[in-house]
Amino acid sequence: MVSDKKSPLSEDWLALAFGLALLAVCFVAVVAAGGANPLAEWLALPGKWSQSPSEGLADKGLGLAGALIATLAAFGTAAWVGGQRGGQFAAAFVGLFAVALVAFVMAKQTVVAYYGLAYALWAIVLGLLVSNTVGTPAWLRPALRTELFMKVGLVLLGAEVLIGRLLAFGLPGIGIAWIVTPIVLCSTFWFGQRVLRIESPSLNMVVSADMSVCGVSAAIATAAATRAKKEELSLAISLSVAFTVMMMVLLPLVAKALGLPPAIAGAWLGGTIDSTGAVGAAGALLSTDGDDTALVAATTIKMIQNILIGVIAFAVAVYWVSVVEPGQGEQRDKPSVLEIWRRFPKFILGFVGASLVASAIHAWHPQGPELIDAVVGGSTKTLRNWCFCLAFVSIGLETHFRTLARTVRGGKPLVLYLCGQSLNLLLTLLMSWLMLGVLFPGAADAIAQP
Amino acid sequence: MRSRSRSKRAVLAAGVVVLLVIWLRMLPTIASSPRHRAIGEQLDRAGVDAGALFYTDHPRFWRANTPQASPEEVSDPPPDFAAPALGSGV
Repeated sequence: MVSDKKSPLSEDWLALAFGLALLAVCFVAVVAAGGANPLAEWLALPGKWSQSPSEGLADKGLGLAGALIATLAAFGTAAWVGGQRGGQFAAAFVGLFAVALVAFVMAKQTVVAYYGLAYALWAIVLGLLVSNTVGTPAWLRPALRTELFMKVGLVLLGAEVLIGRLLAFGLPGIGIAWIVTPIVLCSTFWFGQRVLRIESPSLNMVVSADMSVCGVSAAIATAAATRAKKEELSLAISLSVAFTVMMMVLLPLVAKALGLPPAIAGAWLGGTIDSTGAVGAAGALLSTDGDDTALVAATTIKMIQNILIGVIAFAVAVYWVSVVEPGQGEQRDKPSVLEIWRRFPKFILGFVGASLVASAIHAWHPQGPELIDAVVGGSTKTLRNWCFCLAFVSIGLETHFRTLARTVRGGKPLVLYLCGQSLNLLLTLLMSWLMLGVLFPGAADAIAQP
Repeated sequence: MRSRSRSKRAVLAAGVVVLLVIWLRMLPTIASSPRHRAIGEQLDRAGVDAGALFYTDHPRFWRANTPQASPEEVSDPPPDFAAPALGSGV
C-alpha cells in the first residue's frame, strides 16, 4: 500500500523471504516430527467464548506467548534488516500485538462470530478509536508495518490455496464459482471505471473483488496487488461486513420464499455472501434435521471461490502493472517486459508459489494431505491470522476519519457494491439453477452423502 | 490546549466503556438465549466457524491430524456429515 515509508520493492522482497522462511520452518518441523506438528501447542489464537473472555483464553497462555515470540522474531528480524532499531520495534510490536489480541477476543464472542463480524473489523475499529481520539502514540509507530504484515500473511495463505479442492463440487462448482465470479468481478470493475467513473481504480478493484470473490481475504489480496490505500481497504471491508450481516439473514428467507431446493439455495448463498464464515451460518439456517445439503453446497461453493483468489491476485497484479499504472502516467506507452517485472509486486510470486508447491504435495505425495493439514492447521494458519490482524490494527492506527470520509464522498463505492452485488445475485442464482437444477441435478446429493 | 486533549481522552474512555458494556454485559446475555445456543451447537456439529476468513478456518474443511491442536479446532464432522472428498488429493 502506498503510505509505507520503505520502497515497495524492498518491502515485497522482505515479505516474500520471511513468508517463505516461516512456511519452510513449519514444514521442516512437521517432517522432522514424523507428521504431527510440534509447533501446534506453541502457536494459538484466542478461543470462542460466550459469557466471559476468560473462557477463550483458558489454556491458551503458552500458545499466545509462542505466537508473540514467533511473530516478534520474524518481524523484528525483518525490521532490523530494513534498518529499524530492534529495541524500539520490539516495544512497539508488543503493544500492537496486545491490541490485536483484544480484537481477536472481541471477534471470538459467539454472538459476534455468528454474524460473521470477524477480527478484521474489530482490529480496524480499535485502531480508529485510538488514532481518532488521543492519536497513535509515537512509541507505537515503529511497529506499524501494515504492508509487511499483510504480504507475509498472504504468502502464508498461499499454502492454504489448494488447487485440487476446486474439484470438490465437480463441474457445477466450477461453473458457479469460477465462471460467474470472474464475470461479476470484471463487469463490476468496468462499471466502476466507465459508468460511475470512480477516481481511484484500486478502490474500485478492491470493492469489486471483495464483493464478488470472498470478502476480506480477497480484499486483502487485491489491495496488496494494486497497492491500494489503507482507507480504501478499510472502506471495502466495512462495506463487505455490513452487507454480509444483512445478506446472511435475508438470503435464507428469500430462498425459502422462492421455494428453492436446498442444493440450489445453498449454492446461491455460497456464491453471493462475501464472508466465508457467514456462508456457513446462512447455510445452517436452511438446513433441517438430517438434511445438510444447503450447508454443504454453500460452504463447498465458497471454498472453491476461496481457491480463486490465487488466480485473481496474480491476474490483477499483472493487469495493474501492465495496463492500469502505465495508463495513469503522463507517457502512456506500452511498458516493456522489464518495466512490468520491475513494477510487479514480488510477494505475489511467494503467494502463488506457496499455493503451487502445497497443491503438488497435497495431490502427489503419499502423505500429502496429512503433511499439508499438519503444516497449515498446526501453525501457518494461526500465524497468517496474526499477520492479518496486526495489519488491520496498523491500518486503523494510521487512518483518520477525515481521509476515510473523503474516500466515501459521493457514495460511489456504495453504488458500485449494490450494482455489482445485484448482478452477482442474479447470475449466481441462474447458474446454480442451470448447474444443479438442469444439468447436474444429483451433484449436491452426491457431495452430501456420507 | 490541555482541555482539548482531556476531552479526547474522555472520548476514548467513553468508547472503551461502551465496548466493555456491549461485550461483557449485552452479548453474554444474548449468547445465553436458547435460540442462540441451539444455532451455536448446530454450527459446531457441522464443523462451521461463522467467523472464518478462509475455508481452512472451518474445522470441516481440514482434517487436522495434529494431536496438539485445540479440541475446538480439530473437532471432526459427525459421521452423518461427511466432507466432500477432501484431503484425498483431488
